[in-house]
Amino acid sequence: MSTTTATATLHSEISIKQLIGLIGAPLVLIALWFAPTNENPAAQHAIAISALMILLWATEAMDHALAGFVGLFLFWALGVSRFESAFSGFSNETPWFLLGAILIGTMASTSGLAQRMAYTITTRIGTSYSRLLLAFIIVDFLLTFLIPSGIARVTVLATIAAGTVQAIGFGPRSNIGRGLLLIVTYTAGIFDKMVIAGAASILARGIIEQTGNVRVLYSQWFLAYLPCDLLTILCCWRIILWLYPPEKEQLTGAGCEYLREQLDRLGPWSGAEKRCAGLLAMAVGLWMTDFIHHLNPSIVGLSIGLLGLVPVIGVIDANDLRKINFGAIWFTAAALSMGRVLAETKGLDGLTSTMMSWMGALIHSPIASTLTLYWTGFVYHLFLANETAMLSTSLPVVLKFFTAQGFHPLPIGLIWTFASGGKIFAYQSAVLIVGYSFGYFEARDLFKVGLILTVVESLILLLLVPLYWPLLGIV
Amino acid sequence: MTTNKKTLITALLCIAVSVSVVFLPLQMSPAASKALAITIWMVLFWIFSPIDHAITGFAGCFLYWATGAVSFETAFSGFSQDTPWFLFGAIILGTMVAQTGLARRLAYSVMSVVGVSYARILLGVIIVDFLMTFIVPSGISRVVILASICLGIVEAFGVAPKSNIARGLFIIFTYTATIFDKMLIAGAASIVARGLIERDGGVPVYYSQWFFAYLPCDLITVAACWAAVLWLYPPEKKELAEGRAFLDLQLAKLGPFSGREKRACVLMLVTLALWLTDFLHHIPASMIGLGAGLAACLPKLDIMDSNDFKRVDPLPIILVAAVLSMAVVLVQTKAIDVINAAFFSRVNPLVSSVNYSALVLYWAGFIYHFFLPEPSNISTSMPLLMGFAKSNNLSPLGIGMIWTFAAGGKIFIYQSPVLVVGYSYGQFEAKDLLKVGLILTVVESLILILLVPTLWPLIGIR
Repeated sequence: MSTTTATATLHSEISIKQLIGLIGAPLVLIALWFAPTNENPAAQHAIAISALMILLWATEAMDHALAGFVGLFLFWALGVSRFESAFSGFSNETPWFLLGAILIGTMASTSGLAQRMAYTITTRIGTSYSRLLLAFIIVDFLLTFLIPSGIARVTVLATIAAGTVQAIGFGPRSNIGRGLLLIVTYTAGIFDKMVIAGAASILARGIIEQTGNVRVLYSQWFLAYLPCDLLTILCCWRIILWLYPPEKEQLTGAGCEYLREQLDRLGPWSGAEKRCAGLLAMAVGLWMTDFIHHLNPSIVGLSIGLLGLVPVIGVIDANDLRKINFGAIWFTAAALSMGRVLAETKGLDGLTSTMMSWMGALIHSPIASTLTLYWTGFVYHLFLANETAMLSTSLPVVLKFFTAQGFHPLPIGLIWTFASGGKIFAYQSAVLIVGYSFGYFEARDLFKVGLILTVVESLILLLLVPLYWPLLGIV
Repeated sequence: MTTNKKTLITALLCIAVSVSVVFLPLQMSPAASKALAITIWMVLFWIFSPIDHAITGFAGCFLYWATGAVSFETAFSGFSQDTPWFLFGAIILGTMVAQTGLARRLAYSVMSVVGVSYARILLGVIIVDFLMTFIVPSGISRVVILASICLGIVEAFGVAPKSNIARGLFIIFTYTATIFDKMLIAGAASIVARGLIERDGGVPVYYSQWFFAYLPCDLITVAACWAAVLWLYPPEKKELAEGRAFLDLQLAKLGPFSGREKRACVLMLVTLALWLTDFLHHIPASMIGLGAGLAACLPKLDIMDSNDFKRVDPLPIILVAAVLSMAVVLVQTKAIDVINAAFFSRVNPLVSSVNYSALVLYWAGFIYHFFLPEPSNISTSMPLLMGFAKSNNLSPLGIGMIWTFAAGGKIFIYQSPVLVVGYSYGQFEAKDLLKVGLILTVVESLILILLVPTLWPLIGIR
């Protein structure tokens, strides 16, 4: 490609939304920097740079990690904070926990273990469409423990689901195709809010610990949402069967045959799969029992991830490490650094009082507080599409406000994180875009299912928060 | 024996050696003991390389934390220092000049002045590296600038990365970038050393005195580096086949500057100008480097796109951050005090005078540098050395200068971020550094033996 063409391509790739971000973000920075406010200069300048970062993230004007770096660089270069504070997120355990989680996911998909698990379960359960659908939802849930990346899960499962739909003789826009692909995609974005797996919940855990000063156990998070997981599985299953009744209930032999063939093609367990299974079992075992040994979930995640890189014991090598999306790690660190700078300069106090004061009147009871939090989070997520960006920009402010009102930071953080799972548009998550790109469902399908499931999830939450969470000590 | 088995045995031996440290009867806290054992494990793994350097570094940081030796913030403190992110900016700038074609244009232009023979080009690169030390005090910056030219030279010769021509050029400008700044008060190590010699040694240190003390060494080093590289890496092509005609043709083929190239060129010139004038504005070199790297990725500038940004290799950054974290952990747990006590109790009796003990000091400094990267190796040891010099009526200036010079002797990548930057271009391997490093370290020590008793007394260092 000639240089001119390359430049033209670069130009044409910038959408109006991105252009707004590119022009608007610096203008907002300048306006807030010089605005006549009562804030101390450091706080005001920190807020101005944070606004630039948020606008760049919201409009996706540039790569999220790059926008993060630009913000951190400005904190340092403009003298708002020292380098150590501006880049403090990189010496926080959260981004490295995410690296551990990504390494575990890479191990599962590289070794073929994830595919084997998916084919095994769907072959065993799926003799009819409704059973197959249930099997895919259950596999999606179980894979959340093994592959902490929503995109990776959707890629694995959607490929298998699409192959199955074609094998049983249905097209992409058939009800069977829509139902399977839609639910595999949507649940990938919900389940990883109910387990500390994936960038959003790992980031949220880090922010809750950093801003709320409370310990967040993996097992506690898991148990808090376990009933919700089970109810979600059932609801998703029934809703899809209701919205998209299958053209044919009983599967022909071809569908089952396809799944069996794929499983046979994997052959006997390879050494890499066995090692991977051993390491994953160790990780899940340690995470689930952290209320006994109190081992930090990050230690478990990182140690298993690193063991996966060790020759002989492990499954992956330095080249696999290089191929990992470090942008997610850099972005997480940048988001945490921004929170730290805002807290250090007292900019967070100013932001909290400005943004959250309207909520005060609505949080008089647990039910009202839960509903307010969940739906505010949902609406906020419509504007700040990327869920990690949504959490990093809002969670510190939300925690600060609610703790000042006498609430415990853990349930607040849990609800707000869960709210980031409620989505109705594909742009709200890269996971949805990946699933959508398979071409099996349309935007209105996503809107319909998303809206119903968001309402269902909020109802489940209404039951859990006042009735079940106090039993676990989350009040 | 298969490679896997060899790797496994090497790894197990390294682990056994490092674990044994915990059982040594040393007077230190459990935290220091753990930190020391993990550090020795890291150093051994870096030396014998059973796994990638960056993975070793990252695992070491993780172990500092997981074993409870230090907090997470301390174990990973290197990641919130500016050096690894300076490196990040440097890698982006390197990618930028290569991708836009600027490197090629620069190289052809330089070659049309210096000549088309490889030997002349090599000498030119070494001399430019030396001269730049006066005006660009940051080793990483110098490597970035020279890499942008040498990437194009390698391409012009039509040879592959890791060919003899590529190895020779990249290894020598990378390595000399960490030697020359010990022979001048330029760069972090010599600046830190100067401050400590003045503070703890109680003697003034003059830029001119330092410069003249090492001037012959500079000249001999330039010649030695040139000869060593030509001997170790005989070029595949002695000169460009079609000579100057080829250069003219290539320059003509490149045509006028493209838009991207112009923007890249302007960005590089601004960066260079800021680096050259830092004595006026005092903006840190790392701020300039990182800022320029990030600017290159901004969408509206159209120099690099988000995919180029995503493709930046994170492993060199992790390695540098891990090495820096290691230094912080050793200092914070006071494990460095144990290393110092053990080390200097053996070295000090051998140091009777500056003249006769130059060799001992130089090689002791070389070994000490295995445990700490620069400038930490200087900052942790110099106060002890100055105290020793004063109590034994030895010249603090002479002792300090030799010790600083010894920090130039390196044979492993992890010993300096500058080496990591050069290595990250993928043009040479770790074994090349070992080979060249070892030869040049011996050469430098021989030069020192000559200089210290003959020239130094003449300029008042005795």
